[in-house]
Amino acid sequence: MDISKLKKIMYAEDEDDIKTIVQVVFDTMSPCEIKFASNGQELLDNVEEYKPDLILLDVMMPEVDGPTALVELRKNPATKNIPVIFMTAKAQFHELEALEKLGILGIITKPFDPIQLYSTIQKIWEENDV
Amino acid sequence: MMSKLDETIKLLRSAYLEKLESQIPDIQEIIENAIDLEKAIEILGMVHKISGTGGMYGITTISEYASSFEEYLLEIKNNTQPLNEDEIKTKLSELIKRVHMTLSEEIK
Repeated sequence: MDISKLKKIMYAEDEDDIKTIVQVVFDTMSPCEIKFASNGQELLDNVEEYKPDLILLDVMMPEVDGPTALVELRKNPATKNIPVIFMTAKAQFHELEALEKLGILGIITKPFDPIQLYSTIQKIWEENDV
Repeated sequence: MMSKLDETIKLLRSAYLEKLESQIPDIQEIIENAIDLEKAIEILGMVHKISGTGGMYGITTISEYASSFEEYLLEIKNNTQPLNEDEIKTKLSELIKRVHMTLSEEIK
């Protein structure tokens, strides 16, 4: 689908070092805005106000993890249609098969190259009928 | 010529390596004490972060090892592998060794 529709991304990630580098790269190279949440609960608390076009969800996070946050997002009429991409380590990849049934746009394997992140998102976005 | 973004990433990478170095005493303390399932899950959280963040900075010597360590600890968490304290401690020692090795290579 048209990538120009992707203007705001919300990324739930608990690791500060990852947030810092992704913010730096997005500020320099990406045409869209990115907002971070430190875990699934913070994402759920802020998602309706921020209204992202896309959510990036880390899988392993404190308090509310990525899979639980996805289930909650899908229950809420205001957030159920927001596309989600999981960010996961290779070791956890097999655990996501069941969650794919809940409808996710794709999976990005960690570690990822921060400079390539936007183009990877763009590729997944354009491959899907968002 | 290095772009401003490359320079910033290089600085962040150095800061991250310093942070890893500062974690070594904590890892050493884990090695010196008993490791039960709860501690193993705590170590899993730590190596998960090292795997993801180290890999983003291209520190493969550390991140790839942390990634395989993470897989091993996930098997323990999921009860498909028995908890082996000695094995975990050996892997933690190897992780420390790799941090030292990367730091000494950076100084060169």
